[in-house]
Amino acid sequence: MRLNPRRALDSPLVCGTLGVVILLCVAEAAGRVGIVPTVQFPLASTILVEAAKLAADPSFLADIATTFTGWALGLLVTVLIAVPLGLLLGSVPPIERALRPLIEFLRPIPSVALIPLAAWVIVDPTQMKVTMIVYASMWPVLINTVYGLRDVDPVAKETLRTFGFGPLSVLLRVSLPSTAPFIATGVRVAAAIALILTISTELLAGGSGGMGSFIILAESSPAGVTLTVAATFWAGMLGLVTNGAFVLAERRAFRWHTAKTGAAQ
Amino acid sequence: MSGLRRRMRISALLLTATALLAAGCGGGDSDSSANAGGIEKADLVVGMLPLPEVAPIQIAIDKGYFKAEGLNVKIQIIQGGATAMADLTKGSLQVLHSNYVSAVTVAAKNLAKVKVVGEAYTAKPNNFAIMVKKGSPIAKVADLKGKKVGVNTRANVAELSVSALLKTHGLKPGDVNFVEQPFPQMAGALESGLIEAAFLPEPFHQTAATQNGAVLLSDAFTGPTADFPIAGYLVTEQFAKDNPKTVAAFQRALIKGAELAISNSAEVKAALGKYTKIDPATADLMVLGGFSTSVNETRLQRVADLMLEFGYIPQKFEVKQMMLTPAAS
Amino acid sequence: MIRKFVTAVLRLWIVPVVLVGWEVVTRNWAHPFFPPPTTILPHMRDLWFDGPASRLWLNETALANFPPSLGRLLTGWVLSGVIGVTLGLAIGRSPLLFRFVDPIIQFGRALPPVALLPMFMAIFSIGAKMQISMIAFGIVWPVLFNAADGGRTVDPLHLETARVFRLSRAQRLLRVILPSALPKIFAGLRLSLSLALILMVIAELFSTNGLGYQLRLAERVFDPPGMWGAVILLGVLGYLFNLIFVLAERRVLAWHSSARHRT
Repeated sequence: MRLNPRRALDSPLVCGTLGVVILLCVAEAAGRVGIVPTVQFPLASTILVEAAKLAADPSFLADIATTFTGWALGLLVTVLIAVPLGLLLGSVPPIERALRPLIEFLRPIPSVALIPLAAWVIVDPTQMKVTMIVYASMWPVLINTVYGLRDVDPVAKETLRTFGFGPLSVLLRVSLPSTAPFIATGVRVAAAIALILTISTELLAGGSGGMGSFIILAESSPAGVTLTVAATFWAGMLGLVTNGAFVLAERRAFRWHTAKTGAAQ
Repeated sequence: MSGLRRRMRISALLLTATALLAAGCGGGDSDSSANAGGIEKADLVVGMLPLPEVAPIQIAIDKGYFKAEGLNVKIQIIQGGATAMADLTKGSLQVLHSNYVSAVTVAAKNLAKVKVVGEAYTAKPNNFAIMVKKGSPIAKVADLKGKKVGVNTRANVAELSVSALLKTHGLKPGDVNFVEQPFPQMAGALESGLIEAAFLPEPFHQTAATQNGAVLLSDAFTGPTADFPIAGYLVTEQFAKDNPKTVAAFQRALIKGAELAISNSAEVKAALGKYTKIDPATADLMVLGGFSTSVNETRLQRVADLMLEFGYIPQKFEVKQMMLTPAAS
Repeated sequence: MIRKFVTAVLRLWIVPVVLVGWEVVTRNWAHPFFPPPTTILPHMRDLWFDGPASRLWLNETALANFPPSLGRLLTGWVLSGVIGVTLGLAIGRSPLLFRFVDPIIQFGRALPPVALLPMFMAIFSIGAKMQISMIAFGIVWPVLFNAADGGRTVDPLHLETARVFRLSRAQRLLRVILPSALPKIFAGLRLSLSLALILMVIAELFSTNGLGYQLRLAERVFDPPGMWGAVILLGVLGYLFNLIFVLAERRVLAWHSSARHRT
C-alpha cells in the first residue's frame, strides 16, 4: 500500500548509505570552501582515493590481517580473563568490595602511559599487544558481568538450591545464562576499545606489523597525514564490520536464549 | 545434544587460544650456531626508524654486504624512544638505530649500558632546518623569543639543536615554548598557528617550502653545532663483549653500505623506496650527504657536553664509556 | 556519620596491602624502570606537593599543570554529556534518524583518537579548543548509546498518559522521556568520565602544559619515577572522580525516584 520512497526509508541499508554520502559531501565541501584547510587535513575525496589505493596494496592488506588477528586474540583473552573474574566478583561480594578501589584506580590509567614501562618486561610484540588490549578492554566485560549477576532472578536461584544443587551448578545453570546478554553487550563495547588499542599499541610499541606500523612508516613521508587518515578509514571500516557481526551474533544468541527459557517454563 | 556440541566447540576454541598464546610466548631463541667465519651470532635484528639516515643498512642488505660477512640482517621498523631502548636491552633487537641524545641520556642515567658500533648520520648544511610560515613576522632567530617551536620529540636532538641556536643569538631555551608534533603534521601546525616555527629534517622542510611556501629561518645545525653527530647504531655492552666478531663483521658491511650511500645518491633513493613511504619525486628534493663511516669521539663528546650545559643529564658524561674498544682478533 | 566515615576508610584496607607488596617486589627486583613506591612518592611530593599548606600543598608546577588539565577534562566531559544525551535521545525516539546515522556512529567509534589528531587540529586549530573537542569525541559514545537505549525503552504507558494530558513536545521530553532514561544516562556518563582521563592524556601529548604533557616529558627524559608518579596521580584522580560521581548520582537518582513517586 505504501509508496515506494517511503518503503526505501524503512531500509537500514538505504538510509545508512544516504547518511554516509551526506556526511562525505559535507566533509568535501568543508575542505573545498576552506573551513578545514587542506594543508592540515586532506579532502574527503583525496582520502577515499588513497584508501582505495591502499586496498589494492598487498602489504597493507597483510597489515590489516595482522591487526585483525591481534585484535581477535586480544579480545578472546580479555573474555577468558574478565568473565570468570566478573563471575567471581559478582558472586562473592566481599571480594568485590575489597577489590573495587583497585579497579577504580586502575581503570583510568591510559595504556599510552603504560606501554613505555611495560616494554621493559614484555619481550614479544604479540604479547605486548594482547596485554594492552586486555588491560584496556576488560573493564566493560568485568563490570557488565558483575552487574548482570546482580540482576539474576533470586527465585530461580532459590528454587535450584532447594532441589539440592550446589552453588557452582546454580551459577552455571541459572546465573551464567541469565547474565549472558549483559556479558555480550560488554564484549561488544570491549571489541571497539580493543581495536583502538591494537592499532595504538602497534603504533607506540612498534615492531609488530599491523596498521599501527603502517602509520609509523607513513610518518616518514610528507604525505604522512593523508596516508594515516586513509589507514584510519580502514580501521573505521573494520570497526563497522566487526560491530555488525557482534550485533548479528547477539541477536541469534538471544533468540536461542529466549527460546530456551520459553521451553523450560 | 546441542549443549554437548556447544561445549565441545567452546573447548576447541579454548585449545586454539592456548595454542596461539603458547606460540606468542615461545619462539625467542633461534640463534644459529657459530659458522665457518667464526661469527658468534649470525642472525641480527636491526631496529630503525624509517628515516633517510639509515639507508646504508638497506643498501648493505640489498647489495649482499651483510651476507658476504656471514650475517643475516633483518630490519624492524620502530617508533623510537624508551620502548625501542627496552627492546634492545631485552634482546628482541640486537642493534638499535638511535639518536645520540637518547643514547647518552640512557647511559648517563645508568638505565642501560650501550656501545656505539657505527655512526648513521652527521648534520650537513640544509639537512635540518628551522622553518616559519609564509609571511611570518619572525625574520631572525632572536625573534623566536616567546614563540612556540615545534619539535618531533621533546628533550631530544631537535630541542638541543634549537637551544644551541638560541644561545648563539642571545636567548635561553626557556625563552621559547617547545611543542611536540610529528613531522608530517608540522606544516599544517605552522599554518594553523599551533606552532610558530618548526624543526624539520629532509624531505619535510623541502616539501613545506615547495607546497606551503614555508620560509627558512635558519639551518638547524650551524656555528657551534656544525657537523653535529646525529645518530648511531647501538648494541648493549654485554652483546659487544659476547659477540666481538659479529660486531666487527656488522661494522665492515655497514661501512661498505655507507660508502656507497655517500658516492651514489641514486642508490640511496632506491633504498628509501623500500623502507619508507617517501615517493621518488620527494626523494629527488633531498640533499642528504650526511652519511658517516666512522664514530668521532671528540665530536660525540660535544653532544654530551651540550646536553650537560642544557640540563639533559645531571653530571658530566665521558662518551669514552660508550666507545667500542676493538676486540683483539 | 563518623561510623560511616570509618567504614569507608576501612574499605580501603587493600591499598596499604598492595603498596607493601609492590615495595617488596620492586626492591628485590631492582629494575631501573620499576622503582619502589618509596622512591616514587617522594618524587611526586618534590614535583607537585611541596607548596604551602594554605594552597593544599600544591606547588607552582602543580598549579601550572593541574588546573588546565582538569579544566579540559571537565569541559570535554560536559560537552560530550550534552551532545551524547541530545543526540542519543533523538536517535532513541526516531528509528528513521537511527537508520541514517547508525553506520556513521559505528564507524566513528572505531577510529583511534590518536590518528584523528590532525583532523581536530585542522578544524579547531590551537590549544584548549582542540583538546576539549578531542576528549569529547573520544568519550561521547557510551553516553550516546546509553541515552539512545534509554530513549527507546520509555514505558509506553507513561507516553500514553502524557498524550492524554496533552503535554507539549518539550514537556514530554523533560517530564517523561528524560527522567525515564536518566539511570541509563548516568551509567554512560560514569563510563565516559574514566575514559575522559585517558583521552585527556592523549590530547595533551602535543601541548605545552597539563598532566599528559608532564607524563610525555618524563618519558622523553627517561625519568621512570616521573612516569610512575603521573600514572599514580591519574589513578588517584580517576578514583576520586568516580567516588564523587557515584555520590552525586545517588543524590540525583534518589531525588528523582522520590519525585516520581510523588507525582
